Amino acid sequence: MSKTNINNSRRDFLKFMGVGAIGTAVASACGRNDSVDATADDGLAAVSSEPSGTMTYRINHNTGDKVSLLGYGCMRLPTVQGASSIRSDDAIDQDKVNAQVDHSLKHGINYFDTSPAYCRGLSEAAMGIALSRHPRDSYFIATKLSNFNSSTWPREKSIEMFENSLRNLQTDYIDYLLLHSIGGSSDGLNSMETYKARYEDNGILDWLVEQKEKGRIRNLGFSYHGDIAIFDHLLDKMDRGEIHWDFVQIQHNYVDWSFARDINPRNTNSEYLYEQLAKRNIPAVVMEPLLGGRLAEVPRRVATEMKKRRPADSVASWAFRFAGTQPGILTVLSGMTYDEHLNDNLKTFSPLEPLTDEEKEFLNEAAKKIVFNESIPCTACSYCMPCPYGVDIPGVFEHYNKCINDDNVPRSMRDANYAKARRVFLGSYAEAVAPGRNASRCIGCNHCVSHCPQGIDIPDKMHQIDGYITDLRADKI
Amino acid sequence: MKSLKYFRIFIATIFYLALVFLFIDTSGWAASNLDFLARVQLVPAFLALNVIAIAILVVMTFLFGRIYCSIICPLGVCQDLATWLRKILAGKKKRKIGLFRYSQPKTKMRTIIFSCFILVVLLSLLNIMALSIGALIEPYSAFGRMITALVAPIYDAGNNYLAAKSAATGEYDIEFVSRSVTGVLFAIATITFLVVGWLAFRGGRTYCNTICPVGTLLGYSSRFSWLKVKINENKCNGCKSCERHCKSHCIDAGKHFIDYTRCVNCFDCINSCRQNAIQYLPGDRVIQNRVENPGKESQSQHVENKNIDNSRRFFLASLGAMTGTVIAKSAGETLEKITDGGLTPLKERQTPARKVRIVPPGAISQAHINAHCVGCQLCIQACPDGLLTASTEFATLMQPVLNYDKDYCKPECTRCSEVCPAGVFKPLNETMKTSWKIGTATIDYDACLSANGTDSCGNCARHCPAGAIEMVEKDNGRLMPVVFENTCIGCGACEVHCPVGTVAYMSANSPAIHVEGIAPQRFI
Repeated sequence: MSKTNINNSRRDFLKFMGVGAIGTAVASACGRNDSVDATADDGLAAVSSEPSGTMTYRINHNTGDKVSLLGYGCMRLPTVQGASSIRSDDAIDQDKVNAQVDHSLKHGINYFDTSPAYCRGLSEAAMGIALSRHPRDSYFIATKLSNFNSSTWPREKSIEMFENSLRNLQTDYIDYLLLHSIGGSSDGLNSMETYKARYEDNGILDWLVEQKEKGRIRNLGFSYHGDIAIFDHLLDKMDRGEIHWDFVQIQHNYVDWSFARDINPRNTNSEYLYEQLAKRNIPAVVMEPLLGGRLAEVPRRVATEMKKRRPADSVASWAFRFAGTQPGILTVLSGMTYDEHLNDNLKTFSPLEPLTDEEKEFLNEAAKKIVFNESIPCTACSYCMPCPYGVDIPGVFEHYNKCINDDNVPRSMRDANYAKARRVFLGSYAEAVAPGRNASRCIGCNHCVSHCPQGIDIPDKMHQIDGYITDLRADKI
Repeated sequence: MKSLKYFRIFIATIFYLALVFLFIDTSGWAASNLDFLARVQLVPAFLALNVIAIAILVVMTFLFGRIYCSIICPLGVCQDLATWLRKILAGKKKRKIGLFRYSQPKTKMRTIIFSCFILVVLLSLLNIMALSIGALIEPYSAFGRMITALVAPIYDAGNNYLAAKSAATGEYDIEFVSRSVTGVLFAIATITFLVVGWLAFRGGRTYCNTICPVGTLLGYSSRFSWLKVKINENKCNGCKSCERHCKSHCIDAGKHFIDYTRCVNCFDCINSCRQNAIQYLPGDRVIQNRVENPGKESQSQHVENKNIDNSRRFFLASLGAMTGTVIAKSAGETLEKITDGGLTPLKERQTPARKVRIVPPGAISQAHINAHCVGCQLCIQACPDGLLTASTEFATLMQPVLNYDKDYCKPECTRCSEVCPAGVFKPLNETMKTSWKIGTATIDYDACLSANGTDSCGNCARHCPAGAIEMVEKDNGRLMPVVFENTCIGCGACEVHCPVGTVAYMSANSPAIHVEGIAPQRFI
């Protein structure tokens, strides 16, 4: 059966032959936190497999922008130590960022998505340095008004944040500006009150529309997580003719398509989000196509099925093909810390081979297995970080999920693989998370909860994991 | 007869290597299978009133003489290694001739040192000073300190290297260990190593026959042993080879005299004699040309060890530890979050200043440790979480100290109490240990985050394995932890998990909840 699938696949024969061997290596490395030796200026060549085809583009009908279907996400920029900036306090590796940007532009990526909040506030400036080395009309910059903290809600503070973004990005206009992550709540307000406090009561939304008229913003949109009422509210505004959304950024992947509500009742399936946008002909920008890397690290039995079908393709490529298949998708954002991620993605999108109906059904079945395997739906976006009490929240969850996927979370001492699973779970825990940052340090202050776009009850999960580990250490499960 | 020496070396090597392994092993296997090697050591056996071990040693000595010093005593074997090194370096010719000469016994010095040691034992029984200070010259514990401070760190480094390799393959077969050596322990072990090593390198068993209290005791007992090394005057040609090969300097070949108070039955003399004039024989089969030894010690100096009465007045030796550290208020301090990502910097928290120090579980009280502990470090090495360290204070020198800087004392773990050869620990099993009280948690409410801060916490109550902490409402509407003293076992889970003082932006340097030791420890 698997052979038939390979034979039936529409995959370009030359591409298959040309990059097959390297593709296997990339696939096996993809999704792990293997660090890659820092490479020199043109360094990407060291590991790059030049994509054989050309990048797939989509047209934004509002402005006629020809946008690459793969967008460069700037939330997980590489650091000098080789780790993702999202999990590290190290400085951003500017040389590496420059090299990645050059490589991306060379291979057709022209959409770069950043925010004043990303990488502890360092992302915009790093991207400004990298991008300003190229003609301004050769790429599109997307950034956000990330006025999450109530101290930035006053009108002049939010304006200052926007002006600051222009300065950091070394430009006088933003191609794509987003209201950042509407749908969340903070400071004891509910989500609608929070949205209004951030964008309407202070007149900032009107001010942004003015900026668009002045040409300082070319496309105005919003990114959404959380309470669906806010999403509907903003689209209603458009229906009433009060505002025009040029694009909307949604979390879209083969798990969230039908199972977002199963992960957390607060979430909304991306099928609904996409249909609402398609109905109104609003281009959709995709975030979290990999669910923060979780769809590159799926349960082994799912990964095996994927490899059977397309042995030369990475596990992650399935998620990207899903995200890019729908015609209403403008671009799919991916934070590519490591060169092999960038190259693997370029391969997937140059050109993108849309999913067949049969493959869509296969991914739907895969999603079920992923959702219902007890892992924690953390995407490692690090919006919860830094934890005021030092906990490495994404680190704890990443370790736990990895152990779940690898079947190393013993449920009982009678489990056949108890001894080995216990050893691996506890051994890799000490390695993944420093003792001062592990789940036992969570005091339940709840500061993180309102920041989590996935709606995870972080303290509750922390206490569960901590309790489990205490029992496992004492051989009492 | 000549194979006796090789037999001795064979047995001693096995004993010695096994004892070294007992001190460096981290898996717990040696602690549960080789612990008898520590229990048959003479001083610990007396301290623990280990009747079987004492009986074996007494019978052994009265049958075979002082073979204890050549086979069982690890410090004796250490010295043999140093002497052997000297022989190697001396060259083949000198080695053949022999390196030693008969010397007069230092009876006066032996008597004084031995008497001082007995005095410390008596004072420790009265809880006036700690036995572990006198035990600095005791051979078994001196060996333990040397292995702990000088060899175990190398073993641990190797173990951690392999553990890293194993982790890299995803197998995690080997666990990382985190045992630490204090500077004072390292200094004491190094001095011991240099002094004993130099004495042995220079002159064989000088340490055993002048300083070591065990050597003195066994020396005077072995005069009455059944089997002895004897010189057959009829066969002896007076070559003095035996004298020159005697690392105890106890053979006066000219007079055919052997000083049995110093002979450690190494049998080197037997093999050195080409006339086969030296033999290891019972009774009076060979004419003895015995000269009365000037030493007139009686044999009544067996150490009698009485059970320590727990209710004895508790002498607070460590009052000096109470420094005037001001616990800075941390309640209410928090971190403003504007951007995403990154980790809050942590900081090293100070060990809380305790009014009463915590002694390891089962060790009953400071008085009890003072009277029993020889400071061999075996319990410290056995703690799987590395919570025990060697005391650096003079009053409690080298004794185990329990602190909760790394982790808390797991209620179900009894490793330290299982290995002790000297009777410091009351034997505890897993079930008993969970209700064995070693201290009581006390709270500084001014520093407590939950009682006075802006965030909710309750991490102490959440982690208390005894259920001794509850969060109750305070008059300001906030929740504060309260400790039920009679339920608290003093394991330190609350102290470890208290967030106060763990992150860099907090001004506090110590936790808001910490454990005070109690004396005596008891079941609740």
